[in-house]
Amino acid sequence: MNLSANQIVATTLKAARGAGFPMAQAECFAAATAQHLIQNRSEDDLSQALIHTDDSPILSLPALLDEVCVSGSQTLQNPNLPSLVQSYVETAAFEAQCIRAGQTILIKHLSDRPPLITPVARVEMSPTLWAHLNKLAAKTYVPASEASRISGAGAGLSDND
Amino acid sequence: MKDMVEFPPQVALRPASRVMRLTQMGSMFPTRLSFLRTLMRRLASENAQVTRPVWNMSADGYGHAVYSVDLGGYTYSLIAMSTELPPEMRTDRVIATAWDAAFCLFDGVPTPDDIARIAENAPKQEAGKFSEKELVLSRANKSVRLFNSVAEALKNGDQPDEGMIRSIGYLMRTTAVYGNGKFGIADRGLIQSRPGLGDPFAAEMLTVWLIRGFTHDLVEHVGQGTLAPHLKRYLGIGNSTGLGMAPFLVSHPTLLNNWMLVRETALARVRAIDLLSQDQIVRISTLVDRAENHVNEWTVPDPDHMARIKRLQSDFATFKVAHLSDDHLRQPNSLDAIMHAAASLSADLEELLAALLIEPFGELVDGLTDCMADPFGSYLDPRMTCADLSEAIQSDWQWALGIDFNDPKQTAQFWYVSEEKLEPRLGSRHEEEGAELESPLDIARRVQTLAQDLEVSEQPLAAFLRDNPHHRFAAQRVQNLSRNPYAEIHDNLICDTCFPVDMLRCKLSFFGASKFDPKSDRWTRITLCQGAPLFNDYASADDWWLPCFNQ
Repeated sequence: MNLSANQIVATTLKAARGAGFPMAQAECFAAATAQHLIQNRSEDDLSQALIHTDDSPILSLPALLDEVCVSGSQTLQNPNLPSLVQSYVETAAFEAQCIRAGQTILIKHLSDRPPLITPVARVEMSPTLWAHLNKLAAKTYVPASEASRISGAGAGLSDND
Repeated sequence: MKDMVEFPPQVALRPASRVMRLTQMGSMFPTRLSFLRTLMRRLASENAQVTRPVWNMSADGYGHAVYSVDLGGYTYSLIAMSTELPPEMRTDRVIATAWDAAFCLFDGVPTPDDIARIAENAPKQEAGKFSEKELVLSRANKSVRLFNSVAEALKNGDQPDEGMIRSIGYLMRTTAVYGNGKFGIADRGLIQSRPGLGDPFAAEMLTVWLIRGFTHDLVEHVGQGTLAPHLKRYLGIGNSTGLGMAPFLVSHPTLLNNWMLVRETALARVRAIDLLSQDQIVRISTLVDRAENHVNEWTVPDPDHMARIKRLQSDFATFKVAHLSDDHLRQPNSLDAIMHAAASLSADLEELLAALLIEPFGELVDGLTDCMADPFGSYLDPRMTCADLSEAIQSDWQWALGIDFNDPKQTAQFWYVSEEKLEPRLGSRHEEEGAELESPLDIARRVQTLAQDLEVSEQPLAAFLRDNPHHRFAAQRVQNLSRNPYAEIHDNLICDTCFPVDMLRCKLSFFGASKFDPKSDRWTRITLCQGAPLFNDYASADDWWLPCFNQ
């Protein structure tokens, strides 16, 4: 299926929150996910990242990029989900470079200028991943109640005027 | 040596501590910087001609039409579909599943296949399938009373009742205008570099202006008559807006800053004018009379809001005598004096005067509208020290640090997304379930918690956030506010006295909305494009601020 990038970002943000990740990290993951799919990288990486563990890349990669920004570079040995690292670097708030050598990735800070991302018309995603994201996103939704219906905007008024 | 850009003089900006309060934001009026005004100037400067290549409509006004317009070297088309809707299905609420009309702004000129595809999907709105050729999706319900009355009058060879047109002001009201990739339509990134569509919500504003023209054509088609031009120009397009719009201002802090900063900079430039020319005095006096007439024509059913309007009518009349005479305007720095005098009066009066004083000075302020978009968003600088972040909190967030979140009133509400319609809603935390799933609009509470946990040290923020990842969001808001002084609403958005309608009015005033008609503290009707140019007639294209019926 093909989607707009904004659909993917919005739904992934909610999915990451639904999986239990904090808001800012969910925002970083949502931006990286769109780029990941635009670059035709592994969808499995995204599903794996959403499994909430203490060493999930959704938590560790923003912190890693912070360290790159502070110290100028960082080296990763045998990183978990290396292609996701690339997607995070490409959507960071600063310009950086990923250099891979075997099982090692060197990330270098190049400038404070944010990278330019060329918009694309459509982004491909499998129905399986889309369903998974929506299922996680649904964990942030609050079911309707009588009280919520009554207090909803516009409730109880006729619009036949 | 490089040429230096010389900016016009300006007085100090009004502080965010005043401008960014909900009561002040909830009193805003449209200005010449509003997105619709900017779009109309652009259309007029290009003498953009609207054509109607397709009009396939039954005698009762059901069918479809296509309008095309060239803007900035691109062609855009509105595909409009009108269907018969049983009264029991007519609701402006987001839970609706059918509407009197559905619309799509199409990128280019649609082929018959495109029209057939969109005619199949657009009436389904959220449930339809869309492509990157669809830029904006919208739907509208008729003002049944006015539409039928106007059509009947035209059928009888008469012009419609002017009083009714004045009191309602539109033939249809949109209940949603979706852009930026929603439901699979085109992302804003695909069109934001196009001339004329780079300003915020420009594609959406183009859509509502075209819809407004369609409503004129539709009623003339059903009535088989021609509306008098002055009535037609007064007929805008209504809009019914609820909670869905409110969180946008919180989730786009840099954009909010840019809108407010442009408006405040425009006001500060105008206030710096030393002596007004006679022409400028005449122009301001004309606008003072127009503003007074407009406010006097503004009636709403809600008694509380009507009382507020009546107070504004009275305050404005008093202020006009005391501060807005030609003699006052001839004094040095008269415009600055007016705003100083208004600062101690009601927010409604102050914001009306702010919009009024900006209006005559297009040459001084219109260029600022190029700065209203936000191409970068907010970001975190992890190199900042914790001590510097702490200092920023103490400097910029006193309004948040002073809130007692142990007081149940200060946490009385929570924002959430409803499972039923995937739309934002506001719940009562101490009476309803679901608060554990609340959306992060509790900015003040989050920053206060960050301030409590933050160790004042010279270590970079990166180290603190590694151990406290849940504070990243609040830390980013603090940094962003340091860079963008109008990025945050200076109020607790989860307390019992937070009224979302104030957020709606702020955002809608930037669209160019007037005649706010609140139906509760969480939704409002408004009118857009009232007094705006008609298709292919750009006479007075930039002179429709706060239009009056007998202007």
